[in-house]
Amino acid sequence: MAAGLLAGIAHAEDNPRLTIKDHKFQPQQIEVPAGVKFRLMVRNDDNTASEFESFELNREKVVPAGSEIPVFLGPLDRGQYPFFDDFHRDTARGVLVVK
Amino acid sequence: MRPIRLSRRRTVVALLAAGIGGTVLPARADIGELKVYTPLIETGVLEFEYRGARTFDSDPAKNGAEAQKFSLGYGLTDWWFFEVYGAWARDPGGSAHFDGTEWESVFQLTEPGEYWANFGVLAEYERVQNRKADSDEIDFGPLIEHDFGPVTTDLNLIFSRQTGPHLTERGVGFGYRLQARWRLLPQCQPGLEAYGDLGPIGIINPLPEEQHLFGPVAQGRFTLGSMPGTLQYNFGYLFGLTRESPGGAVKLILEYELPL
Repeated sequence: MAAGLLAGIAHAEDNPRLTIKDHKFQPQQIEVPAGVKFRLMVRNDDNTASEFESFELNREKVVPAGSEIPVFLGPLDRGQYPFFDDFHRDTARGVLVVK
Repeated sequence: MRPIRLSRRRTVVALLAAGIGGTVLPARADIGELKVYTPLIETGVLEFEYRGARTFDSDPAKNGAEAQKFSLGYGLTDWWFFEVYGAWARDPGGSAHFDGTEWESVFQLTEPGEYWANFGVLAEYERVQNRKADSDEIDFGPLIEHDFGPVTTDLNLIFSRQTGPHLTERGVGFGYRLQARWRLLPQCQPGLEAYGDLGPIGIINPLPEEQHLFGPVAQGRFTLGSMPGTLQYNFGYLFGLTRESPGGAVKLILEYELPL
């Protein structure tokens, strides 16, 4: 955190978490504060790979089956940032709400 | 990056005409290398790529050079993407021929968004087909990516060295590739690209003898209905900025990515 503050970027105290189960995100909506850098932890409890993807967040990252990955995000402006599982587009969708 | 030379044959002729030895050749751009790399890779994704380019110039010696490449790549881990290319080329006024084989790796060094920029490394070995007149080559260099709001910029700094059997350039060459693109829509991201080869390190070529290309591009990606995977494109026209550069070059890259 000290390094982040020195760099002029605030960091979120807690890392939000997402779980992929039955090819759906849980929860489907996450709220984070604006203007801070944070690490979104994405865990895949399914037995097939998923891909966390968001054009608005400019992130695209494979989540192997049964594993957890960090997705570094922010600082973000207020707004809504949709995300989805690129390998299961029909079922796995969510939104990051920045307040 | 193989210097952006129009054809190896032309380079050899120029070298012979200049008397060989430590002669410094004009830096030339390889139009088969008109691609800017991102340091970010996707684990477990299979990629089929087509890459093509053609030059245009009023000088017949620089007009009509073509390069075509086909490749197969795979994201072996979350930090290593490996790709194999077959390359074909046509010299100005010549006929198309098989040009060589390339083995390429992209190593992702940092997590996207973790630091001020995302960092990676490109490493490539190219084995030429015409072993009586040209040389194999090793390319190596950092890949740097940074987002300025909705604009993503990628900078590739490429160091190259020929390894024989017939050297046409001595020393370690240096070149750059740069792209800035506006993430307007997934399907359409307009941008600008620049490519250049400055020649061997430590030997400063006069600017007119270097090759620099710059111009507009568009890229994007589409899903294919019920088919798995995505189709990505990158298309553009680059203008030559120096006397050694071709007047222009059109480029097209198509990539089909399939998660396995």
